[in-house]
Amino acid sequence: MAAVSEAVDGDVEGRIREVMAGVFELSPAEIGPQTSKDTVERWDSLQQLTLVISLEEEFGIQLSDEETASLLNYPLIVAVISDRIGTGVQ
Amino acid sequence: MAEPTGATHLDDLAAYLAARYPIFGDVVDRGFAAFGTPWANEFEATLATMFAKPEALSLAASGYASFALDLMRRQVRFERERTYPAKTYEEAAREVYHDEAYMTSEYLPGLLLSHYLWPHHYRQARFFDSAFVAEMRVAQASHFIEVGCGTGFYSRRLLQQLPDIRGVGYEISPASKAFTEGQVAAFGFADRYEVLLQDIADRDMASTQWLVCVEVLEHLEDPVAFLRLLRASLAPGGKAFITAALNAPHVDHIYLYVQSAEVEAQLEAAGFTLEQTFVGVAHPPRAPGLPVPLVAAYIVA
Repeated sequence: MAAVSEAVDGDVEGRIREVMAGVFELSPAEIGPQTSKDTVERWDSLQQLTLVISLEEEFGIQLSDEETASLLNYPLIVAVISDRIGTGVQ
Repeated sequence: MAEPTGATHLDDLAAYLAARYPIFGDVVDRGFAAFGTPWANEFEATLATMFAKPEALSLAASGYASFALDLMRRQVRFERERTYPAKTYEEAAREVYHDEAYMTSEYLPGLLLSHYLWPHHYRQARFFDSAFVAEMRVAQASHFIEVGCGTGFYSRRLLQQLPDIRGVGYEISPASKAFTEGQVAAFGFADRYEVLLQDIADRDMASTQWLVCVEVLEHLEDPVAFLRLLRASLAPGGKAFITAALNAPHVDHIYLYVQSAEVEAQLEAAGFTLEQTFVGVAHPPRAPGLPVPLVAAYIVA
């Protein structure tokens, strides 16, 4: 079961990295725990909404206003998306 | 979740937004950096008068966040599609102006706070003060009409700056009427102002020397027909302060203005003569060629 969970979780993170890379014009390999609004020059407030809309489309979810206004770093994005789609990444 | 602390309302607003909506965490600091102490004092007075209790301020802050985030979502799509979603005036009225819960909890508090937190909105208010209100003061104006009161921000501003003036507002939204009356009363001007729940397209409005109409045109299917009604109500020698929002895909904006020249052409087509102009941008373009929200304000005769 652990191996399956890791595969699923890894896929979620991979999809998140792909989405973020597309929005911020980076390579997926550049996206990681250190990635945040403070480290990405293009990450302004409208780009944040572009990111949120892209994540919603990718995962078929609707994020709340508070989530939309708070997902300003990669670890938080992974945690919230995983929670919303039920993979439970800690 | 951080709740207001009992310090100034402006500090509480900033703290609440930073804790609950981090994307807006620096919006108060940026306002202060741009406009300084006069802005802070004016904003503080508005918050303290309109949202004195912590729970009222929290609700207003959440309303602002929802209002702004909704617009930002629409802005992202607008940058891609370059059109507003097709919507009739009747649909917008039903969806927005007559939805009392939405108007009261989100739209009106959000709009009121945006007059201070969005630089182009605040610059437009300062243009109103320095160009239009100043002219009214010199002329010893005694009466004005505002068509489309919104939150009542501009009527209240006039009543505040001209102690002897009296005014009438025409408004189609019951929630907007109530909010405007509440703001005017909270500032102590209720005896000099009344709001009529009336669409000026249905029944003639009174004639006036001084007319105010802020960000109504983009809500209409036929702005020129509306402008002709305004022009007909302007007494000989009268002046009007008329504005429009451009490239601003709010939920209830149905007429897309891309350039201020389009507004100017409509004002002239309706018979107005342009005297003074202000155009303000919300922010620099995010990339070359991308549309930027604008406000365009005119003093016309």
